Amino acid sequence: MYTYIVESEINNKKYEADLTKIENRLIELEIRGRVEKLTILKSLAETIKDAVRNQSETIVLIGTDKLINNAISTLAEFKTTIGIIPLGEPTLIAQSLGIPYGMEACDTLSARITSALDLGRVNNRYFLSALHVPDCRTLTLDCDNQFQVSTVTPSTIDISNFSEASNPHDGKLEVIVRPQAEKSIFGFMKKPSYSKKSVFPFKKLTIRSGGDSMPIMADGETIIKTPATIEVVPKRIKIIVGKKRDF
Amino acid sequence: MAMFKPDSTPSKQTETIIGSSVKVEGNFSGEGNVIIEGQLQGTLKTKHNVSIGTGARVKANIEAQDVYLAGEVHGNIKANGKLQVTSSAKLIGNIETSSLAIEPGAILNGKCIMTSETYIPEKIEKVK
Repeated sequence: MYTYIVESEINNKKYEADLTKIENRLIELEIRGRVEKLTILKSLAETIKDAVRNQSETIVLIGTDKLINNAISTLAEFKTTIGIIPLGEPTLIAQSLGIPYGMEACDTLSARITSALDLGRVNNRYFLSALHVPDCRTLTLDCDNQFQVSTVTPSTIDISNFSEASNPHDGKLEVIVRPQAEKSIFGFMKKPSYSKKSVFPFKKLTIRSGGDSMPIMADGETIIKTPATIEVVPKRIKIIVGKKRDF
Repeated sequence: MAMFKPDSTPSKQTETIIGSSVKVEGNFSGEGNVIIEGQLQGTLKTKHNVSIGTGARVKANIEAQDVYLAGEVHGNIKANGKLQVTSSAKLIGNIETSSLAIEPGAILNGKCIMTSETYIPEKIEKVK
């Protein structure tokens, strides 16, 4: 049985036509199921747990990256297959997984190409795509208790599971260190540019900042502060992917 | 019918890049290619290739398949495949490789062992 969870921001008039098209296509493909529309009063974690209790084999998330990021910690606790129908903005995770936008994603669901993907874990929270540490002066990264990386110039840090050079089923995450280019007189006119990045694959990483604690962000929200330990959890979730995936 | 792509064959090889803005200390052991443009101190071992750029400063023993050297290294290099040393390179240490190319201008201070073939001198017949 399929359970479809619709993000609260998507559940409005702007996306009504898209949702109707999706519903009709799911009926045509004979993969319709129970639809749960999230509201302020309806918790995502409880909705997922209810779906699992009702023996739902596939939980499909309809919405943006925010919904996926919020759902992943709960979904990681179960062996249910995960599907995605991207709707709204941003939908970069679905893009990386090769899932087309809107109604076309129904055909990807129906084709049911599944892939077991690694997840990242920071404290007890899981993440699927990436974490971000904004501009920081001095940082030390302890990788796999083998070597230490120190930043020489102010840099930003991204911890990535699948983007750029990463592979989401190699049993490793990647930390990408991007130095911030020196600012010139006309620097305010330009976007900050990054050059000479460093990339290190790892299984376990501890981030320490020299002075004050730095925020570690996922999807624009601070989820923890440094010092923090991040580790990979190999092949933790089974997800339906598209043919045009990045990996 | 569902199609399954085998997960055991990763489509992308993860690469390690030590950029010019970082300093790495410790024992680095990897499986992919390693590109060094910054500072490294310790040891470096990989099954794939290592490229040491012109601005790189390395104080480490290195073991890899092919090694491209354009920067400064204080330590021994063991290349199981090829070792290419460019004119900008400076190496203080021993090298062990099966194939070696050195450009004019490179600085090398150390012993060199070629591992591909053991040199067997041909028998020289006495000239009567």
